[in-house]
Amino acid sequence: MRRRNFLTAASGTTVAVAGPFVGAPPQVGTSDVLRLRQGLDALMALDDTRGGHEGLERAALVGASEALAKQKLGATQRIRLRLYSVAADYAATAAWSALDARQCDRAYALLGKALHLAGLAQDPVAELRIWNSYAMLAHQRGERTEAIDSAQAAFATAITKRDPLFASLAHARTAVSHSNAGDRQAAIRSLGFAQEALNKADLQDPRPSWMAFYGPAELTAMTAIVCDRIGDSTEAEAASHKALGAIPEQFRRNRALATARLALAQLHQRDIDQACATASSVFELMKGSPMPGRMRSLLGDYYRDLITLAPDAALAREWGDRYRAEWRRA
Amino acid sequence: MSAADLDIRRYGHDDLAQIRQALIDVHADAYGDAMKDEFNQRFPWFVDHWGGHPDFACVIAFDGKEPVAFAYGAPAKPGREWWREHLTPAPEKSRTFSFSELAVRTTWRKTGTAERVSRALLDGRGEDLVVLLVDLEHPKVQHTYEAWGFRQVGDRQPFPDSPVYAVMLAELPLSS
Repeated sequence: MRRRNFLTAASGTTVAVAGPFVGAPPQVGTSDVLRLRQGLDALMALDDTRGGHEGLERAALVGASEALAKQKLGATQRIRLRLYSVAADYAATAAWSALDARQCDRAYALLGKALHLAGLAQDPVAELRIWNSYAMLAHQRGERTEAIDSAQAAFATAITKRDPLFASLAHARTAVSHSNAGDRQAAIRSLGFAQEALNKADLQDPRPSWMAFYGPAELTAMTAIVCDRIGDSTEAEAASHKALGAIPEQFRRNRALATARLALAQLHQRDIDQACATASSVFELMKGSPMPGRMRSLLGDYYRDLITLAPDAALAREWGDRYRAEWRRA
Repeated sequence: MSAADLDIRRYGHDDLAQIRQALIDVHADAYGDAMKDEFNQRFPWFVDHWGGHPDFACVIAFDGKEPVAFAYGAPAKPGREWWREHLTPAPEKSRTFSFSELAVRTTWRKTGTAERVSRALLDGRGEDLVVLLVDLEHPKVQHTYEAWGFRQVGDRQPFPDSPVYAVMLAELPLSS
């Protein structure tokens, strides 16, 4: 603690003097990069419980500017690349937050910024993360082909050749994109590739904190999405149950999303009472936090499908009446 | 060409298959960039839902063969009117028409077309009241409805992913 204070104080006082001199010794080092990385990890933990929201987006943007401001303090090229990399991750976190909150335009602008920084950082992991987000955003915007192309761009990043876990994520995203476009065969094929790659991955290898969500549990959750979209609701329900059994507690947002998908799969099998009980538990899980936009979309789809499929209109109305106050935006 | 020259046609539940795509196209044009929002992409569901009502009523304005605007709605189920939870005591005459949707192609904005199709939909209806929902973030639209005699009685978010809307109520017939 004292040492860190000393470092900050020292750089604070010397900047003004050191700035103008060419060839002044670097004032920024590994400890700065590590501190910025830790800040990023804290933001990812916040995202895991609460999901995307304005506070998270703002904090991530502050982190990105901080990382970029450090560049000006005279760093070695190696440190500069690492600062770009951490700035790219912060910008990608801000973009992700906007995406999760369903703020499409902001997410789009922030992803562009993040991709620029990832390029400067020569960081294929950040590039994969950003293309994965582009694929999700393209889906939100109703651009089905672009969603497939973005997922494939994620697969084309260099990291997928070195680490099969990243390859698996890119394949899984490709599968979801194909299922949204209604291409059943391609979706099933990509899911197979995703599973194969996952089997080859060493889950213990160190990876950035944003990737902690991905593993066997999340692939099962993504399998549930694909199955539901291509009409295999029995498989979707089984996969959702399995995913919920495996997604760790701290990923509250993803557990709530998987729960909402389970409700959809049950509804699509006309198991209406069970589906309503499951959908209700999403509100329980998210109690105390505002609901992120993607979850709202999913529950909106649930309620609309319920209205369409419920044999008795009163049943759908009752469910809506019961939860309308809970989904009401602040 | 002005709104007065538009050709106004009326449709009901049985015409849904015939007009469905026209409604979706006009809506997409009217919403433009806002169609990037997932909730607005759900519009076809709403068309099918409202069009599925046996007393669905729809008005489409045509410029020649091209549909340029529409307005639709259906009678509200007694006891389930959007205004119900906001008014105590309830109005004595409470038969209500739910005015669900209105859209005007961008090239026909500010020509009086919105008012023309709205009045065409509501004129001659048998209900006592008409209720509609306006996104609270669009106060200008709200003012327009106020100018036609609507007043806000509350707000409502009917779907988890929908905007929060102002619930606006007027007596029928609308004052001219």
